[in-house]
Amino acid sequence: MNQRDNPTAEPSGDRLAALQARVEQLEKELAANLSAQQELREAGDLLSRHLDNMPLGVLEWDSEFRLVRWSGTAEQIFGWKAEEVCGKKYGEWRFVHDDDLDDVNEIARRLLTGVEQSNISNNRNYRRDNSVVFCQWCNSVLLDEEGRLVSILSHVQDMSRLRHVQNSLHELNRALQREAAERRRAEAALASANERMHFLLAATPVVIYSCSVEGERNATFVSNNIEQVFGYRAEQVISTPGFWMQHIHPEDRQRAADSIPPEAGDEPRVNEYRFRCHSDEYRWVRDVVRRVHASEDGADELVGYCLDIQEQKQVEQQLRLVQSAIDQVDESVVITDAVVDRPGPHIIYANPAFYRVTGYTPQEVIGRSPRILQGPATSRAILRRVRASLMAGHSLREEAINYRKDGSIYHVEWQIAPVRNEAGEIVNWVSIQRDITHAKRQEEEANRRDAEMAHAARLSTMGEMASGIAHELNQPLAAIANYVHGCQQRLRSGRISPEELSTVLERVVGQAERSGEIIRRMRNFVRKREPQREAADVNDLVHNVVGLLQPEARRRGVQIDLELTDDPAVLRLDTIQIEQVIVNLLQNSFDAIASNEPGDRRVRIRTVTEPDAVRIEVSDNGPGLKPQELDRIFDPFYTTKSEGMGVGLNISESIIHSHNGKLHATNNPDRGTTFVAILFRQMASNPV
Amino acid sequence: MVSTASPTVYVIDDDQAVRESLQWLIESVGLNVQTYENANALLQECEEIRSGCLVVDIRLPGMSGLDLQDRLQAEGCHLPVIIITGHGDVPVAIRAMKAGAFDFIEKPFSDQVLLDRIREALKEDENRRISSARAAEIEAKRKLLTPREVEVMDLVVRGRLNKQIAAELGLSHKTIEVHRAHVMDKMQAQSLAELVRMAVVLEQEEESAAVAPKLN
Repeated sequence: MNQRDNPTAEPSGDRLAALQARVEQLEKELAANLSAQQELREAGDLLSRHLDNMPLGVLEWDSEFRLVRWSGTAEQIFGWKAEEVCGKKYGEWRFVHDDDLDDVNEIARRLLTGVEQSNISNNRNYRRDNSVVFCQWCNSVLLDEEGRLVSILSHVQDMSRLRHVQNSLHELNRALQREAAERRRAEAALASANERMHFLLAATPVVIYSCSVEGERNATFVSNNIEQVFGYRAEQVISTPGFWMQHIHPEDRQRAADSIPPEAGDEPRVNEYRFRCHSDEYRWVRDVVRRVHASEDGADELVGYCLDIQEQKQVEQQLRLVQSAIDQVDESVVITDAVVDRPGPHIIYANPAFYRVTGYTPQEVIGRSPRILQGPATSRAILRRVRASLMAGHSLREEAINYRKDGSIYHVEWQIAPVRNEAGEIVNWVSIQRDITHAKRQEEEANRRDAEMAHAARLSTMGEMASGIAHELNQPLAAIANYVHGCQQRLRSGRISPEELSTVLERVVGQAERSGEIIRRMRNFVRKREPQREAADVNDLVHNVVGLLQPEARRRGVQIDLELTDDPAVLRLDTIQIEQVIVNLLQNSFDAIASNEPGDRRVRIRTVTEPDAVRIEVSDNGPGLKPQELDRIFDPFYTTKSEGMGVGLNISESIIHSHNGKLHATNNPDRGTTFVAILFRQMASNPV
Repeated sequence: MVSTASPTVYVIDDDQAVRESLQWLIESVGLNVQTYENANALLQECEEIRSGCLVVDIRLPGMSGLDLQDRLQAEGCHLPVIIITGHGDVPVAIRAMKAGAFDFIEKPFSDQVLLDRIREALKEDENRRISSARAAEIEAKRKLLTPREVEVMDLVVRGRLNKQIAAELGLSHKTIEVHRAHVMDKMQAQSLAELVRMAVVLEQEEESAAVAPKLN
């Protein structure tokens, strides 16, 4: 764009000199002005030439944004000739790339509205052939003195190539950065892996090695931790030919030597052998060896690792021992999980004895509840106790009736214990069941024998009591005879009224009944019968026994005092056996007080009811028992007396035991001894 | 001093039925009967016991029949004691006899045997009462003798001649004859034989009083 200077002339005045000077001045200025105009023209042409030849395209827009200049370079860049586009307004031909139009319009608006006097825009333009060119536009506006827009000059540079280079450079840069990051990461990973490797090698018990395949398997590498594991230095192992093989236990050596993968790349072989450590101790080693192609000479190499498995081996041996023990014991061993909620635990293991005893197969048992062993005859009370134990986490021992697969029953002694983990939580239950059917039968047999023995003892007791009982029987018989003879005498002399006779005959009948009662008690006492339980009042039994023993007590000058409870003392028991116990205790007391002065021989029988039991106490006022007698008094055949077998108290104890009761003796504080038999109201679940 | 009160049979048995039936039986022959449950009950009434006999069961609680017998004799009660024993108590019964029991009867006994024994015992008691009364009479006469006369009487009843007695006592024959005449006179003896009988009665009485403690 051109800028022209228009000078103005001042009017001349009076003073000629001044005017002359002024004219001269003006002439000079005019000349200078003309010269300047010439220079300016020349400069304008030069500029136009330069503009056409410079690499920047130059465009000039007038105040109406109509293209007025389109330089040759612009033609080269865009393809349009000046005559094709000059005179067109901005936007009249497809020049700005559609996607950049908004941005470029904004740039134009800013220039046209005077917001900016120059700006730069990087945008895409269309060429004449519709191809796209990246351009950088530098625009500036020319204003006149009043600030009015005269023209807009834009020069444009084809950025396509630059852009391409730039993109390539960016790409390259990014690639370099990526590569650098990658390398940093790789280096870090490598360092970390190295560190881990070092740590693991130093800390693990795994000794890593490589060795030759042929010959004596000389080691080519051994990790340093071999020193901690086996006590040898790595250099020693590597430098000593055949070191490794020589240290394998002779019995294991050949096997270890033979067991290597035949081809490189085959599955690794695992060998276990005993290896002599630096301490000369053989330890079990697990050796995992792989065959690989070596790098240079092509000969294969063995690489592998060794692990000290001595402890593991011991544990394994112990486990095998325990396993074989569990497999071979006669007791059934069942392990369940620890599920307590109904339906309860599941069987996860059972030993062969279990299957032998029950007839089940593992498939029928594993995963099922131990309830499969229960049946109608299994005591509910026991199952309740078992359940309570499971809930409370307590172990428990019970006797129970179990069912085999075929429905037959067997008696077991049953022991259940929790298995806890390190945290003390119950993780399993182990149940050991001993088949005690045979023992149970033996016990029943023993009970029968006991009963027979008790019967024999009763007979013997009865023999001892015979004279006393004969006397006791004589009393009513004598009374009857006396009454009858008295009546005869009176009848002979006619001194008796029918009323008197009737009264006396009533007494006779009473005495006959009395003798019958004595015989009944006696027969009952010596009766032989199977043990049986029935509800009976202990006080009645005491009365029966006192009736039997009263004559003997009288003969021996013994006074029997009764202190019987008024409460019902009813229990389920074997009446004869308990009577036998009371007889034995009474006779024992009689003997104990035989050395007392006549008139000072007293025996007291007390019965006491307690909430869960009835106590029978037989006390005497004899000399009491010595400590060693107290210890042995219930032993069979132990007696302090010259007569008698010494079985009475022993049998009594057996009887009380079979009733789940207790019998013990204590010396009284003052004098004499008290025997206490405690019979519990809750009897044994399975009656003898 | 023979008691004129009718004799009583004292029955001691702890078995009420036996006791009452014995009473029924013994009363049927017209005898008085007193029954006691045990020895102590009888001993409390011991003072009043004069004549009769005791029927005692050998097995009594507390004081036994044997003990009772001893106690009664110690207290001067000499009633005959019939011991009733049970089966197999014969050895004890023999001990009782040795200790002075009148008799023993084994249960079961026939009523007649018991009643006979009771009658015999009562007779014995009566006899003893009579002889004991006579002894007391003689003893009273003897108390009138001087010590020298007692000496002379002892020797006379042993069959010594007067001159033997004189030599033994260091006295003259004449003096002995005088003492002897005084003895016969004071003892109211009609003959030497009667004097001897009197001496025997006394001796027996002394013996019977001494025997029981000795055997105890």
